[in-house]
Order: sequence, then structure tokens, then C-alpha cells
Amino acid sequence: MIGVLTDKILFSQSSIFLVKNLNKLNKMRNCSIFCNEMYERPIDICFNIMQQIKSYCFEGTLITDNLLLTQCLHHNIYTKKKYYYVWNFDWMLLDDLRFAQLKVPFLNDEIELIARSESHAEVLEQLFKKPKYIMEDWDWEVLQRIDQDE
Amino acid sequence: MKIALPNLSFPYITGLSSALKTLEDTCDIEVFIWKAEKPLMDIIDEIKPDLIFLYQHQTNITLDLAAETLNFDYITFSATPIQLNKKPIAYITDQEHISNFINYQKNTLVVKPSANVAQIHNGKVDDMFKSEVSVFNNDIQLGPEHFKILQWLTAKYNTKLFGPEKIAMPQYLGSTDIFERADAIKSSLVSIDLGNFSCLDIAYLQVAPVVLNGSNELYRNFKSIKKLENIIDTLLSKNQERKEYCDSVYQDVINGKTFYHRIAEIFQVIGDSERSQGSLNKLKELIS
Repeated sequence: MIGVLTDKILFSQSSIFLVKNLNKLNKMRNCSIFCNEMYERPIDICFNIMQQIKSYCFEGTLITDNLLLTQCLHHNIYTKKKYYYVWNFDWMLLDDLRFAQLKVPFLNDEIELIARSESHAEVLEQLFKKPKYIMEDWDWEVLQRIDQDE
Repeated sequence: MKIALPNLSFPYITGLSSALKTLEDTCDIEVFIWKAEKPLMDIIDEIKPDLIFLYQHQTNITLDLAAETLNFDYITFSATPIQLNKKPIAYITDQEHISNFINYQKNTLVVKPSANVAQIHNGKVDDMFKSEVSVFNNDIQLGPEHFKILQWLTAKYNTKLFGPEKIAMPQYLGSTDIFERADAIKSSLVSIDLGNFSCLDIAYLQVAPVVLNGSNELYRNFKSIKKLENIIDTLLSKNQERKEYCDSVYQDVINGKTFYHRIAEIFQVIGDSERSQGSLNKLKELIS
């Protein structure tokens, strides 16, 4: 069972690919999105969407796609496996970044990394640790593999 | 002995404060770091320090007024002699202003670059920080020349960038506290000093320093990216050469370029040989 913890569903590349691929995945395996806001419904949605707070009782494999949510991921005690899908290099956008802020998302044994591409994976491996998977644009086949592997 | 220092964020003051703080037991001193915005009279009245460190802009008539009722000495960081009745027990100035102090040579010390041993001593290799090259932007204002160097470094080597000034590169991992800074230096093979400030800290941690526009021949200095490339490639590929270089710069630092040496000089100039020796003994204890 895969859950995706994200901020908002928007008319954006990330959201469109996320919804499209979870629609496909949901035909074979249960999956859900936990988010706080849904501004747009880019395409029809064929799976559960719940509030972020519900992710705290989620017992499957949970994937986040931003740095701040990954910092909270640390507190999801029932989650079987935790992943941070590094969609953007979010830390570049933060003002007054302190190294300590990167420890939970990137240097925590509990949370594995997923990179978007080979080149991202290379940067992440140099800076933090080797990503466990490379997944382009929320590829449902990779999501399925992640779920199977757990 | 009570010693008060302002909490100004100048590397020299920070270095002296850190070293003095670690000498409290050894030298029987009490160190007070006071907020520089607080009126000087309040500090003198509340703490009743025996010795105060002041910057030139903080030396004013207050010192004469306080001296009427209280007994204290002060050391000032100044470019010119102080025109007050209460004269400082010693001056600290930089090389370019030393000629202003021609009549005061006996109690005038010159600012010298020094390793902040008190803050970095326990630096250890940590997997989180491992890199080929580390760069810190503490105490420098980054300009276009620096960005060119950083872009080149990050493209060619496994580089990690740290410091308070945001750099728009994924390799920039934010500011560090003193412990993280020490570990990050120690966990790299080569560390670049862009401002001629941190090379002594790097050398103390037995990591290879490479200095932009440096003038000390003992250190590997560069003025162009071509030269930097030669230096880094050599240091990364030849372990023995890197080790020998690290050893030589480490010896240079522990033989006179730490803030414990600066404290020893200060105590010496104010006639307190016992505390002066205490400061040097503390360094010996740390490096033994």
C-alpha cells in the first residue's frame, strides 16, 4: 500500500504526473494521497485523497515530495517505510538554511531517497546518500516496484 | 580576575573570547561576554571587571568617570592612541596602523591571524560531511570572482559549501554551528579559504588548506582557477604529499598561530607571566 504525502494538488507537472500514475497503480494496488489543499483537479482521480493529518495513522509505504514534509515524516510512527522523492532541490530555495535542517530529510537512516533522474541521483549521492530508486515523473511502475520490495 | 569582552562578531574578538573562556580554570579568570549595545558604565558597575576589552568606538569619557571610583584596566582595539586620562593598559592594532603607536611600542600588540582552537579542537571525520573539497563563506562577502571559483569547483570535484551567505547551488548546505564547522573541515581532504581567515583553522585540523590570494609561502596559494586546479589535483592524487603538507602547516599553527598564543602575548604585555604561561600550557595540553 503506497501513500503520497504532498502539500497541494495543483495544475502542475508534479501533480498531473502524480495523479495520472496513481490512477494506473490503483488498478493493481491500493494507493492514496494525503494533502491539505486541492486547487485544481487536473484529471479524474480514481483513488483516495485524504487530509494530511490522516497520514499519521497510515501503515503502508509513505512517500513525500518536499523537504518540509519530510522533516515531519520522522514523526509518522506507524508507517512501514518512508521515502523522500526529491522532486526539487528544495534546500536551495530556503532562506537562512542551517545544515541541521537537512539532517532529518537526508541523513536519517529511516528515510530513503528517491531521485528524479540519473543526474539528480549523482548529486544526491555526493551530498547525502545514494538514492534507493530513480523514478521519473512519478512513474507508476517504479511505485509498484517500491511497494513490492517492501 | 574578571575579564569582560564585547559580543562583537569580529573574528579576532570571537577568537579571544573562545580561548579565554576555556582558560577560566587554568588561569583563574572569569570571562563575561557583554552585549555591545549595553552602556559601558552599566557593565563596569554591574560586573566590576578587572580587565575590559574595548573597540576604539567604545572608548569614551565613561572610562574616565568610572576610573574615579573603580579600579580596572582596559585593552583597546584601536588605530590611534586614546586621548583619555584613563589610558589603556595595552593596545591591539593592525599592521598598517602600528606606526601611529611609535611611543607606545611596549604595550602595543599587532593583530595576527590565528587559529580558533577553542572552537575547532574536537573536529572529527563524520560521514555526513565527507567531501573532496569544502568551502566556507564565514567572514567574507562573496563576489563574482568567488562565484566563478565555486561553480568550477562544484562541477569538477565532490564539493560541499557551507556558511551564512546563501549560495544558489545544490552543493550549498547552509550555515553550521562551531561543532559542525569543525567536523565539516575535518571530513574533507582539501578546504578552500576564500578570505584568508580560515586557513589556520583548516591547518590546525590537519586538512590541506588552499588559500585565495594568500601571501604566506608555506601555504598553497592561488590567484587563478588554472593554478587552483593544479594544486587540488596534486593534493587529491598524492596522499603522501598531502599528508606532508598538512603536517607542515599544522606545525606552523601550533608554533605561534593560535588564539592561545595571542592570549599569552596579551597577558605578557600586561605583566602577568603566570597567566601567559597558563595559556600556552592549555594549548600544550590540547595538542599532546
